[in-house]
Amino acid sequence: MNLNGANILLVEDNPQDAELVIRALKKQNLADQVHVARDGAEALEMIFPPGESGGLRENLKVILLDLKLPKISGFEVLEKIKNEARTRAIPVVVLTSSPEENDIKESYRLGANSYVVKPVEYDNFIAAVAQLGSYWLLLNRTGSE
Amino acid sequence: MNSSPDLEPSRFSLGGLRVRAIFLVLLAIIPLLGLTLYSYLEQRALAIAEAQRDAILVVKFVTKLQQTLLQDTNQLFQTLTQLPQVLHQDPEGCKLLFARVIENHENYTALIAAHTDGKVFASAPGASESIDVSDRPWFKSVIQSRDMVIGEPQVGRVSGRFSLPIAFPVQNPSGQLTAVLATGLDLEWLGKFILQTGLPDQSTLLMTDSNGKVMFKYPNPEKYVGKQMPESPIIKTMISRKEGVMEGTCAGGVSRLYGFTRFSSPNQEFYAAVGIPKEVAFAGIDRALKRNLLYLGLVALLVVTAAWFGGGLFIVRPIKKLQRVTQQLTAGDLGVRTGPPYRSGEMGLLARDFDQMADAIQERDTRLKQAAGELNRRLLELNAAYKELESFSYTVAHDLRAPLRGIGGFSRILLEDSGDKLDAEGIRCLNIIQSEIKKMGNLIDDLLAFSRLGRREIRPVDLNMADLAGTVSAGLQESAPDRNLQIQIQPLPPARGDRELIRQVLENLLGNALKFTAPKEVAIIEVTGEAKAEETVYCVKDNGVGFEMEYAPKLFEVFQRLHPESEFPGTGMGLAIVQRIVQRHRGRVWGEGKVGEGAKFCFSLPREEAEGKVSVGEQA
Repeated sequence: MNLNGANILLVEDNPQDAELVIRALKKQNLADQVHVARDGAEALEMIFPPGESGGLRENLKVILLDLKLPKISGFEVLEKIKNEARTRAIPVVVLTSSPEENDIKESYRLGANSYVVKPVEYDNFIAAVAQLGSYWLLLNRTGSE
Repeated sequence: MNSSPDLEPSRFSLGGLRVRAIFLVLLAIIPLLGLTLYSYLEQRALAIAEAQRDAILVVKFVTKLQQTLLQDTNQLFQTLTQLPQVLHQDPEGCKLLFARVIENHENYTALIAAHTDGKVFASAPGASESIDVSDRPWFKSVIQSRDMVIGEPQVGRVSGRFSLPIAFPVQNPSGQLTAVLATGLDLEWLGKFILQTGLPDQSTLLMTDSNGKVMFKYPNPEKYVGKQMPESPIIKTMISRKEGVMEGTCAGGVSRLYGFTRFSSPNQEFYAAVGIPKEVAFAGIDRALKRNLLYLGLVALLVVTAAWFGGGLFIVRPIKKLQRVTQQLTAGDLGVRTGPPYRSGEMGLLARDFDQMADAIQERDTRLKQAAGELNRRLLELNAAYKELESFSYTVAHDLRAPLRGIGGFSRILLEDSGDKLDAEGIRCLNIIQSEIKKMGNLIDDLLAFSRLGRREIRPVDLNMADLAGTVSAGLQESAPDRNLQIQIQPLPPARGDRELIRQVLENLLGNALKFTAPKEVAIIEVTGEAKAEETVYCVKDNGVGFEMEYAPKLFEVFQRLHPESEFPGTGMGLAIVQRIVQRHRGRVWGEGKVGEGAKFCFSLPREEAEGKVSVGEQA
């Protein structure tokens, strides 16, 4: 899997949601930089590739992370990223359906940089993802540049 | 433990049962003491009466004795005047005769015979020199009266002793006075003789004539006899009352009971009194009283001792035991009992009843613990159920929304990407799908909000309801700038509740009012509040379309609507949420309305909570 050049990692088990996100990013011309992980385990493999130094994380500008994931939950993934010195600086945006206060608190406790509830309505959803993309990729600066 | 030390009776405190028992015993002794004293006084009165009776008897005896003595003396003289020695005035014969008489009659101090000129020619006891009695009043009197004469008491010239002179004329057969015989009645002897008849020591005798002249006095006759003492209180009383009793104190300071009476000799009246010392009269009774009081005291001491130890053994000890057991029970040792065997009587009953009470308490405690355990189990089950519900809500939120988003998103993509290939009907259908998805999204959101209310923790604070209503109302007005709104907020009493939730209540009620007044040109919405005894009531009233009262209870049910959604949009959850919030604050909700005239929705919040906390807030 060639992850070089990708600077957005979308961790999303629902392919329809993933497609909607990608469509939204496409409208911003950011879609070619997106990589999708279908569950928590896959996401961790991409972020911490075995035996390889460098890899995806070198260029990552943001991770869009769903919470409810098969195998390894979003919280666990978030905890791993924020507990590792190598990856701690990567911005993690929790993008989830849950408006639960407990989930919001837990995410920030584990070090999430942002928490966004997926709007059900299409226009709002497209707008939200578009804003996220333009903010984290165009406006926000990370140390690796 | 609750046993306060000031209730604990000391061994000697007045509240202690032991001391009370002794009080009771002593109370029983008081009548005995009273009886003793009463009997003493009674006996004393009896003794007085008896002493007085005695005195009168003695006086009567004395007067009788005197009369007897005088009669005896008279007879003696009668006899003597018949004897030749006397008739012939034989000095030697007379002396012998007189000496024999005196020897046999110790009540006479002397016996003399005198010539009519007063010269004594014979006497016993014998006189050494010639004695002349012509100057003696009794002598003159007998010469004159030629009858037996009793003279004034005097010291006899022959005997030298104080005596009552009695003279008698000696006449020859022709009736001529030839000589005078005289004797002296020994008053000292008389006194002793009388007193020996049974009167106690220190008793006195007193005899006077009607003028208050002391005729006789014992003891010390020589000091008083012959003196005129009408002013002496005893003599005065005696003469004025003739016969009776009195009490008096003599010069020596001895208090006496006097019995007195009057008696008559042939030519004169006399008064006599016998005085018996009170001490002597009362000695026996006083002794009896002392003895009785001593006995009574001993009995009281004995009984008090018995009450002290008996009270300890039979009253205090069982009560102390009961108290100890009660304290153990209070401290939580429910298995403790006074235990059989029970004493007979009330103490035993009390102990038995206590044990039964402890049994009942223990049984109830066991049942309570069982119930508490059961309750705890149920609570755990309930908590588990809640957890399940929570995760269910989460699942609904996550899993229902995602496909909904998919349907919405892809129907939209279809419209965007392939809209030009669809006819007008296809586009209309896609638009309906879009709007239905929006509604379903709202339904899910409201349902989740409603279910969240069930597990959300209420965080009560003091609320300024007027401010809160003002904020909500301002927000509403902002959201509907094209509406003509008149929102009147009357003075509202403060409340205590969860700020976010109560705000939600106001938002829903005011929002409903705004919604259902839409057809009116001017929407008039009024918010009122009233503090009642136990709750504070807040109402939101509008001039909107109103509703039929028969459906009022349905208004608060989940997803219930009284108007078609096409007319007034909404999920039908607003009032259900209001009811849920108010119920969680332990308040009530209700609504009134009339079709076409408006509606009024009210909710109440319990007052005591608000009051208590508000007053605390004011103090802080």
